[in-house]
Amino acid sequence: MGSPGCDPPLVTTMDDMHDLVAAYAVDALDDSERAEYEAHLADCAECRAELAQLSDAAASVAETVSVTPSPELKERVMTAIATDSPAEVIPLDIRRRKSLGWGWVAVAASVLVVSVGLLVSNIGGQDGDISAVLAAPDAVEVDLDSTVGGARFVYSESLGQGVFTGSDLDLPEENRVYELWLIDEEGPTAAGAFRPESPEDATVLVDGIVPGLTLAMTEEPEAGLDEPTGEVLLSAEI
Amino acid sequence: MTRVARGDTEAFSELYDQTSSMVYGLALRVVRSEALAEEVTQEVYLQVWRQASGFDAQRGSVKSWMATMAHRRAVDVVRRSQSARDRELKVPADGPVADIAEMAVLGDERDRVRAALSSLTDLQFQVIEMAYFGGLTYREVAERLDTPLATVKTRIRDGLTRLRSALGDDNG
Repeated sequence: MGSPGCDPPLVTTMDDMHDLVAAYAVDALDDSERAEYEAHLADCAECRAELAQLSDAAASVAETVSVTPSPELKERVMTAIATDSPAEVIPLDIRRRKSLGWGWVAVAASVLVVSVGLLVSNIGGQDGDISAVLAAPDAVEVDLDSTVGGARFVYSESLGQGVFTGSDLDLPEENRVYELWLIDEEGPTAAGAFRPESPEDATVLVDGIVPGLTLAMTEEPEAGLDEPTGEVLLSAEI
Repeated sequence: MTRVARGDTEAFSELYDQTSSMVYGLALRVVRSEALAEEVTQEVYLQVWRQASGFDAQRGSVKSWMATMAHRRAVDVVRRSQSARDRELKVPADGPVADIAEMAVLGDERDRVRAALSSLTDLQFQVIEMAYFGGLTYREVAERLDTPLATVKTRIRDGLTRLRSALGDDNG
């Protein structure tokens, strides 16, 4: 009992995170806390297990307020799905991935490619995470607006992570890097720097992904700047 | 669900019939506007149609999956609309408990859930109602009830845990 009340801040933060599980289950977190919690969730099996149970309980409450919608709504829904093929969303489900032969197959199957040319600090052990994002049930690809060649971005809302892959990127100038940014109302946050050695060779795991953010990429003189100095070379609404 | 994932519109139509009352009712309860609730419902079914192949039965039931989607969307809608703030102000602090007590009871499932809900304390009821149906963040709930944040978090958690175990007991 040497120093009561002097717990290291990190421990308090982790406890706080665990405490948020129920609030998350009833969507009672604001956007930034939700993002923070989802990032935590990706790493915390304990929270994922508890969340599954609490979400079931929360969902059961929904049963108590059933209201039959108008028949017209069903017509609209059926019309909407008739013109919207499920195949338009990248099926990242493992069972189907093999037969489809997407470029993503190569990414998921050979995450070893990742090791070359990356400067980001959070690379350690990310191979498994990349596969996890690509195989997540809710993985979706966003449309990228790019001026520097082909790139794709797939994210999983439940994991709070995304995978950026350059498929035919122009290379940055010598001694310069590409930096990814996540932009919210408060401005851009660096999300990972990399220097592809070849156009095919850029796969970056991006944490802290929540819908509503904008992903952008700039060319920078060095990795780890606080804010972008270069032009936006590609961007996407998440 | 497997059939829906294969693009079977007939299976999708059946799924809609079985779940649309829950999805629409939940959306309506949260957004409090028929037009917005219909919009949320339509978005949820489009998402189900697109992501059916990703549904994993081991992680929970279809209904739970859909309720989670519907709730998230509905809450996002109210938080993003200006009217959300007005709406929140109109909810009296003592309203929620009465609300749950007055809930219509139709069908076995609702009976079962209502019985489970009755095992919660009034205070647990209140915070879950305010957060789940009111679309409030736990911070807003704490402010409104003039109760410490930690207490509100604990109440939500204890309430859901108790609800979960009450529903579980009933199953077993």
